[in-house]
Amino acid sequence: MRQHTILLVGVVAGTVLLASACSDTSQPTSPSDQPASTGPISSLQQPDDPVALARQVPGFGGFFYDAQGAPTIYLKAVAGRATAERALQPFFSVRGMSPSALRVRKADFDWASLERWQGQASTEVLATRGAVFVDADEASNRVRIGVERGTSAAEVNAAIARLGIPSSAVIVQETEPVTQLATLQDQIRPVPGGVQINFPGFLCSIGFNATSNGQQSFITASHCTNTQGGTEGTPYWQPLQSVAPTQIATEVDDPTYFRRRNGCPKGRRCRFSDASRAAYVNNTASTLGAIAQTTGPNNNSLTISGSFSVTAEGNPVVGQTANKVGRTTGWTRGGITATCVNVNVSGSNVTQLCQTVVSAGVAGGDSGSPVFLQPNTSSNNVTLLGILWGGSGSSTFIFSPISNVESELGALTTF
Amino acid sequence: MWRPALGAFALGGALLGGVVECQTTPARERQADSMRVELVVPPKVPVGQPVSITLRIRNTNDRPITLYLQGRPVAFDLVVEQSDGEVVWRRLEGATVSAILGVRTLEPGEVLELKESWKQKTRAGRRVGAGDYNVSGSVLTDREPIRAKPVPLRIG
Repeated sequence: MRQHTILLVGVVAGTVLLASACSDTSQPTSPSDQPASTGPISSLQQPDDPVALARQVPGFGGFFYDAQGAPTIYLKAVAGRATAERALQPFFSVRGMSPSALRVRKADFDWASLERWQGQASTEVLATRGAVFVDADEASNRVRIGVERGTSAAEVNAAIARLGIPSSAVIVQETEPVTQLATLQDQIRPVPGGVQINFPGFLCSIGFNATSNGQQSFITASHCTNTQGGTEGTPYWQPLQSVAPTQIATEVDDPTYFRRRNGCPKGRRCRFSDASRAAYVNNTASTLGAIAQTTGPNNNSLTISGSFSVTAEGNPVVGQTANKVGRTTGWTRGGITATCVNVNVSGSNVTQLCQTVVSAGVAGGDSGSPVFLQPNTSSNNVTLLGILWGGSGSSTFIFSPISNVESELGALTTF
Repeated sequence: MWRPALGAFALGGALLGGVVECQTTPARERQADSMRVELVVPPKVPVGQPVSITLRIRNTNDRPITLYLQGRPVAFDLVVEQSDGEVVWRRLEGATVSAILGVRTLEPGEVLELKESWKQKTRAGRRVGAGDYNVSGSVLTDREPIRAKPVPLRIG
């Protein structure tokens, strides 16, 4: 899934704000084996809020679901399990769970201390350049501090030492900066499908990420290369060279167009897909299977609000509803009206063979967009259908089916 | 079967004259005052002779401007109407255009010209008769098209 701005905005900011709001930084330090302070926020907690309940437990150091989904508690004294189970009884009752499902981990620090340190660190650390967030992290029993990549941790560590916070209680990690809202035309890392790319003189959209013979890559339109057909090492930036000057990828596969065979009309150059592959360079992070999701279909929004996950590939069928995400018109969707159509491209001698037509919005810059089915609109799991390359008017787009793409570019791992 | 919508690239409503929009960002909106968009068409052409049509965009500002233009080559539409408003020919009718966006910078005073030769035939291939016509034009962008003011054309 796309883990850049969205998650950081949603989770980190939410966590930081909530944690800050929930902290009682005016409380004196609790002796580690004493009941932790409930703090002033307790009246705002739900009766089955596990953290509020667990605050009563001596040596409580955090509550979270572990990687297996099991409720897990940090306790300074593991022997306090029975006390923890009793305290958390309302939480388990509401969920129909047995307290025996609780997992216990040895805490190094009590929760009240972590919250207090979080408050102290926030005051100093968030004032330094490159600081992104300060969190009392339930899952690590530490104060977690995020700093932008390239930021020296020395200033942060100096602030921690100045405040008297044990260095062993703090994790400093590099992270992406938190921006308010990202759009399909912004810099997004790890790179998902559907966002803007730039090559010399032009703008297009990334289709989808793929691995080919172990090479991390993305697929876009063949005409989104320096020369349509033929591999000439087109460089790509995301979103623009002027915005993010480090090249993200290089074109590595764009088969030449053929003539006089496979049904190619006389005087025309043909292929079965308008698709090319570019390999990521410069350690550019990308997420296999991720496609940027905007706030809704056919609403003109370019604001990224989440992520689609490719879980399958499929063949288009007339009557299905196809979706696409592209840098100009965002997320649009509509019915598939024709399949395996041979299409002449305006202003060229190119004919694309066996293409699919969709009645949905498109505009310049959407070339390369991923086209997919969303079998269940309440789920973000999608079935990849192909690569958008053209339009007839503003409400009909044409795409190359994924089967054609893979027959010309070779087998791709797309999720 | 696939039947592209007719008039897919139609110039909706009344066409605006002279310099018109080219937007996305406020900076691009300000460009409306920086461009002169015009159609160059001979006022009179003999029946049966090709009509040379040029859509011209000139940077009238003292600074470079950047245009975002769809297609490769740049996609532009031309529409020829009879004096009663009936469309007799549309350059992009039913056409499939690549959805790429070209970034084109015009230096101060620089002109971008897009040319077409109309053979005085309808899309169906029927020759049009003598009479008065209007020609309008637009260039596709990532937003609203850049439109030129219609100009008259007499055939005969």
